[in-house]
Amino acid sequence: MIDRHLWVHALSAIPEYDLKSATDKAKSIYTVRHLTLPEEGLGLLKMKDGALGEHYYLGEFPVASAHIELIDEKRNRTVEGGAHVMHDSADYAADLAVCDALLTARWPGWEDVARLLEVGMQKRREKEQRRKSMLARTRVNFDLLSEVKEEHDDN
Amino acid sequence: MTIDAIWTPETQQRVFHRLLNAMARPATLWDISDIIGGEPSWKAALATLIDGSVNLSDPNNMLDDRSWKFFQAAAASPDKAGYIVADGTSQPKFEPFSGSLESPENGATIILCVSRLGESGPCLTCSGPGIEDTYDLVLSGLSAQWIEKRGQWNKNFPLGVDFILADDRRIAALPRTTRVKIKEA
Repeated sequence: MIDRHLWVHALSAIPEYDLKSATDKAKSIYTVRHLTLPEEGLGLLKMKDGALGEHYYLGEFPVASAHIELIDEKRNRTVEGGAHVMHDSADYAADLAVCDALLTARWPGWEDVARLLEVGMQKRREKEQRRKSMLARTRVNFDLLSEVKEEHDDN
Repeated sequence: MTIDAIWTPETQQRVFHRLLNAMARPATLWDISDIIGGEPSWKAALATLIDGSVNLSDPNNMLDDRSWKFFQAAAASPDKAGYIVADGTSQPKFEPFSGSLESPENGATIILCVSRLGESGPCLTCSGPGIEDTYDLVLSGLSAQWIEKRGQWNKNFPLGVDFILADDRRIAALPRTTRVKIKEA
């Protein structure tokens, strides 16, 4: 099983429609109760400038969060789930929080989410691999420069 | 997966509109039960006014843990809080912050929960800005000490506190500019 801290990262690589289908199924079985106000808005990325050491805002990014409780009324049990994600919809964050709760508790319906989790993680790995290969192509080989320098020194 | 109406921006904007009207026309009653989905009006008023940038005091322990999480406000003692929610039947045992001369608007807003507004009980005769001559507000479930203390807290105008009175369905405001007397029976 993938580590919990990677769940939102992996599931957010899944098309929203697929994620919603899985959570709609869970929501038809269990009651979902918000434990905090689901929120969506803009986050401000703060950086410190190197010269004067003063803080400045580099830019904005969309951020949404949700903290829910999944209630299994038939068996009288509950489990909590949460999500904090770069997205502009609190509903989307709430869906991810439902997935988080389902995967934690492994209640009926969790297998569908686990499948999505594997697919999402695979997508993330492929993306990471593509990024690494792109980065590798931009690498400058300074060894050649040192060889040239040595040749000059020899002369 | 729904959320109670009082937490939605649409409802809060409508409640805020009525709160503004209540403040502009002190002591008049504003029914908000049609928009708050069964929640008590004091809670709807709090949900509209409070967020993470202000602090809140709850000396009578009226709020449960879940409500605190939704309000997001930091808990503070009544003498430091920007907002105070209190039970009108209790005795006021604190001195709220009444602002400073540079920023009198920082004086506390006290949301007082009463049993009934506008139906039966003692009568408050109100006068001042926003009221033509005088206006009588009938209410039950408010200790007379609140009115007495309010007079003391507001005697150094513009410093002072603003009251929002609320029962299950209605709200009425008594800003610091309103003069209030308990009408003799």
